[in-house]
Amino acid sequence: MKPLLSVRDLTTVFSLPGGLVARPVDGVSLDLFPGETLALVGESGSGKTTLALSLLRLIPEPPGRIDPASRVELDGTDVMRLDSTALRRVRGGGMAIIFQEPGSSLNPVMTVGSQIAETVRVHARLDRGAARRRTRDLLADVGLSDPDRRLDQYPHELSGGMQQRVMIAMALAGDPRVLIADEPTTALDVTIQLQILDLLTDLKRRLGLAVLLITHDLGVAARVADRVAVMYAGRIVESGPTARLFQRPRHPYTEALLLAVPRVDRPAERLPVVPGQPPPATDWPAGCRFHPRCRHAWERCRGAEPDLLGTDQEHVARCWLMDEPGRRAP
Amino acid sequence: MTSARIRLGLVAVGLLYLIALLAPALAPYDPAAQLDLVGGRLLPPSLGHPLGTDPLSRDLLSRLLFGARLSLSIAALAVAVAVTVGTAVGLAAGLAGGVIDGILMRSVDAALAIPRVFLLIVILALWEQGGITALVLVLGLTGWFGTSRLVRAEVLSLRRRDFVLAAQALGLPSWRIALRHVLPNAVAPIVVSATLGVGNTILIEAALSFLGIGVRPPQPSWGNMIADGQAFLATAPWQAMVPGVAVVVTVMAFSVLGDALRDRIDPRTR
Amino acid sequence: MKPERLVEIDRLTKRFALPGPLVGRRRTIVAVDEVTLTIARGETLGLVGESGSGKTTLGRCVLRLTEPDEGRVRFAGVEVLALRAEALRRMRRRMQIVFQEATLSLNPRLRIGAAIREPVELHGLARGPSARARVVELLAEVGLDRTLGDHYPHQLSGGQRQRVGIARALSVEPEFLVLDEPISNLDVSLGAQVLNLLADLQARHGLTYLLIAHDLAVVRHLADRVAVVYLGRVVELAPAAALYQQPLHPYTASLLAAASVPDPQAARPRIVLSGEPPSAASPPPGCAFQPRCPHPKKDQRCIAERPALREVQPGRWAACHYAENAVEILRKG
Repeated sequence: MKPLLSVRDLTTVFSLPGGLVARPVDGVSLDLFPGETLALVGESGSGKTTLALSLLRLIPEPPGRIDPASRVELDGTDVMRLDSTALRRVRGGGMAIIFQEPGSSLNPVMTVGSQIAETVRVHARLDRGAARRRTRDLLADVGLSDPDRRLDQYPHELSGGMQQRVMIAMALAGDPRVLIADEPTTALDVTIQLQILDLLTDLKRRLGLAVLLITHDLGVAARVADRVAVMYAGRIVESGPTARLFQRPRHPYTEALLLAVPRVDRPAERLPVVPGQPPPATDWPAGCRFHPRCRHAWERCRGAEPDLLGTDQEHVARCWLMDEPGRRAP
Repeated sequence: MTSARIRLGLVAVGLLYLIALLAPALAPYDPAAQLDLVGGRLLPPSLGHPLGTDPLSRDLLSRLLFGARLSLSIAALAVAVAVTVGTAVGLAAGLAGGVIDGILMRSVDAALAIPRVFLLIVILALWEQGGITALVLVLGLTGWFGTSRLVRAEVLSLRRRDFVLAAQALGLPSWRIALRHVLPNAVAPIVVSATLGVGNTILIEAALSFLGIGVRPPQPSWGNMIADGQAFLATAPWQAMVPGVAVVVTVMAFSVLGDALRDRIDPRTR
Repeated sequence: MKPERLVEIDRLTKRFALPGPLVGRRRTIVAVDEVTLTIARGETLGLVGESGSGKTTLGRCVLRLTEPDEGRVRFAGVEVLALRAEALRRMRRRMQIVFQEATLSLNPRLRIGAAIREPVELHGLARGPSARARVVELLAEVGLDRTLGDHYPHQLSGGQRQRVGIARALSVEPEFLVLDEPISNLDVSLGAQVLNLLADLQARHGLTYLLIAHDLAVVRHLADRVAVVYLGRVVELAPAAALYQQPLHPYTASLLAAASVPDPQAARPRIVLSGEPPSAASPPPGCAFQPRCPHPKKDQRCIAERPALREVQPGRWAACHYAENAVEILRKG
C-alpha cells in the first residue's frame, strides 16, 4: 500500500541572534498510511511541533527555513514545491492541523459558526446558506450537543473540551485526508481527553483519514496509535507498531522513557531516571545524539550516528545495539 | 526599531543635560551682564554673539544655556518629587486596598478634576516670595496624580502574581514584600511616566515663566525669554523663536524617549 | 502508637462571588465545600481532581494564603485561622508550598541565591556568610550546582526552576509541604527526577506532604492515602493501594479508566464519561456527579439526596449511595 503522506529528509533550521543556528528538525523521514494513526512521541525540545508546522510550511521565514532538499509528498504531490495558491488549497484541504490550546486557536470575537463556515467556503464553493448547513453538520459530527445553538455561540461560552471539538470541526471543514493533531488533549482534563481521543478514532474510521498524532504522553499513544515514532534531538530514533514498540522497545531512550513514567497500575517504587538533560537544538552531540546520556554507549556511538536499523522492516531503531546486541550493558 | 528610538532619545536627553551642566563653562558671557546698552541691544547673530543680544544687550546664547540649566533642573527635581509621592501613594493604595485605597483614589480623582495650570497660577501668584523652591515644590506636588494611578494599577496586577504569593507563603513581612518584590517589578511604568513627565514639566514651566509667575527676571528661563521677545517679533524675530525652538526640541527629545520606553515595556507586560 | 495528627482540616468552605449584575443576586461558586481531612505527621496525602475540583484552592486555604469562609484548620494543635498577623507569619515557617508554575513563583528580578537566602535571613535562621552557606547546601540538596545561585530565573530551565522552588520552600525548615502539581509542567524524564527528589527529601527530613495533582499516576507514586475531589467535595478517601485496586466511587473508577498508561495491552474497564464537567455556578441537584455517573445502580435517590462521605469499609470512605456495589462499575465495558 502506498503511503498517503511521505516525508523524506525534512530539515528545518532557525537562525538565532548571535549567529547561532538551531536545527530542531534534522533529517526526518516518515510515512503515513490511509486509515492509520501514527503517534509521534517526544519530549519538549525534540522538535515535534516544529515538524508539524513544517509539514504545512507554517514556519516563519525568516528566522526559520525549511531545507530545500526536504520532501513532503501528499498523495504524490510535493508540498514543498507548491506555489502559494496551491499551498493554501492544501492547508485545510489536503492536510489540516489542530493545536494544543483550543482557546487561543479560536478567534474570540467571531462566533463558532462563522469561523467554521469561513473555512468551509474557502475550500468549497458554497453559498452562505449551504455553508451554514455544512457547518452545523460538522458540529454534529464532532459530537457537540445542540449543534444549532452552537453556531451562534462564542468560543468563551464553551468549555475546553467543546472548544477542542470545534477546532476539530474546523479542521475537517476542508475535507482533508490527513489530520495532524499537535498535543490535542494535553490541555484538557483526563476524563475529557478520553472523549476527544475516542472522537478522533471514530472520525478516522468514518472519514477514512490518516492521523498524525503528536504527543509527549506515552499513554495517549498507547491508547490510540497503530504505529509509534519516537523523536529525540531532531531525529526519529525508533519507530514500529504500537504493541511491539511498547513491549520490546529497541532504543535506549524509548526504554528509559517508558520506565520513567509513573503508572497507575504499578505500585510505587523509585523511578529510574535518564541522567542529564536533552541537548540544545543549536548543538546536537556528535555521533549518536543520545550517547551522552546512554548507559550502553561505547566508542562506536561517539564516533558515528547510526541509521534506522533493524532486521524487521517494521520495527527499527537508530542505535548501534541493533547491529551489536552483545554490547548491551547489564 | 524601538531600541533605535530609545538610543536616540537617550543620546538627545543626555546631550541636553550635559549642556545644561556645562553651561557656566560653555557660555561666552555672564547671562545677566548688560554688555552695551548703547549700541549692543537686539543685535542679530554674529561671530561675537552667535545668537545675538536681547533688548538689554545680554548675550542670547549665554542666556539660552543658563535657561536650559534652570529649566532642566527644575523639571528634573519637580518630577523627582512627583514620582516619589505618586509611587508612595500608588503603592500604599494598591497594597492596602479597602478603605484606604478608596480614600486615596477618590482624593486623586478630585485633585485631577481641578485644571493643573489654573491651580499652579493661583498658588504661584499668591506665593510671590517662593522663588525656584516654590516652583519646584508646586510643580511636583501637583504632578503626581497620574503616576499614583499607574503605580496602583501595576501593583494590583502584581499582587496576584504567584511570586508575590510565594513571598507571603514564606512568611516574609509585608514591608519587605512591598519594597523588595512588588516595587522593583513596578518600576517600568514609573520610568515611562517620569520621562514623559519631565518633558511636560518643561513645557508648563516655560508657560508659567512666560506668564511671569514661573522663573522671574532677571534669571533667564526659556519661557520668560519668549515673553521678552514677544514685543520684537517683527524686528528681531529670533529673540522669541530661538528659545521657542529650544523648548520644542527638548520636549520632543523626552517624548521620543518616553514613548519608545513605553512601547518597549508594553508588549511585554500585556 | 498513634501517629500525630499534624494537619486537621474541619469543614473547610471557600466561596467565590462571580462577576454579575450590579443589582440582583450575585451568583457564587462553592470552590471548597465543607471538606474535612486529616494528615498525620510523616504521611503523604494525595489530593486528586480535575480542573474545577477546588483542589488548588483547598491547598491554599490550608496555608491560609486564601482566607476560607468557614471551617477550621489546625496545625500541630494550633488554630491557624485564628492567628494574628505576626503569629501567622512565624507559623508559616512550619508549613510551606511549592507552586505548579515555578517560573511564575520566582521574582524575575531576584537572583536565585538571593531568593533562597531571603526567607532564611528574615526568619532569623542565619545571617551573612552562614546564610550563604545554607543556600549552597540547599541547592546541593535539590541537585543544583552552586553557581546557579548567581543566575536569574529566566536563565534556568523549567526543571531547574522547579527545583529552586523546592529549595526555597525547604530553606525555612518546614514540617509540612503543600505540593501543588509539582511536575505537571515538566517533561516525563525531568518529572521522574523531581518525584524521586521529593521522595528522598521526605525520607531525609521527615516531611509531611499534601500532594495536589490531576494525574493519578503521580499521586500513586508518593501518596500513602488519597482523597478524590469533585466540585469542591471529597468523594472518596482511602489508602493508596486499596484505592487503585478497587475504587469505591464511580468518579474514581472513571479517573482510573481514563488515566494515561503507557501499555497498549493494559486491561482496563472502558468507562468514557459522557457530557461536560459540571458548572460550579449551578451544581447538579443531589449528587454532583450523577449526570455523568456510569454506575449501573444510579437512580432517583442520586438526584434527590446528596450522598454524605461515609465510612463504607474500615478506613475507606466514599460519598456514594451505592458504594457497596462498586465492583459492578468495574465489570462494565
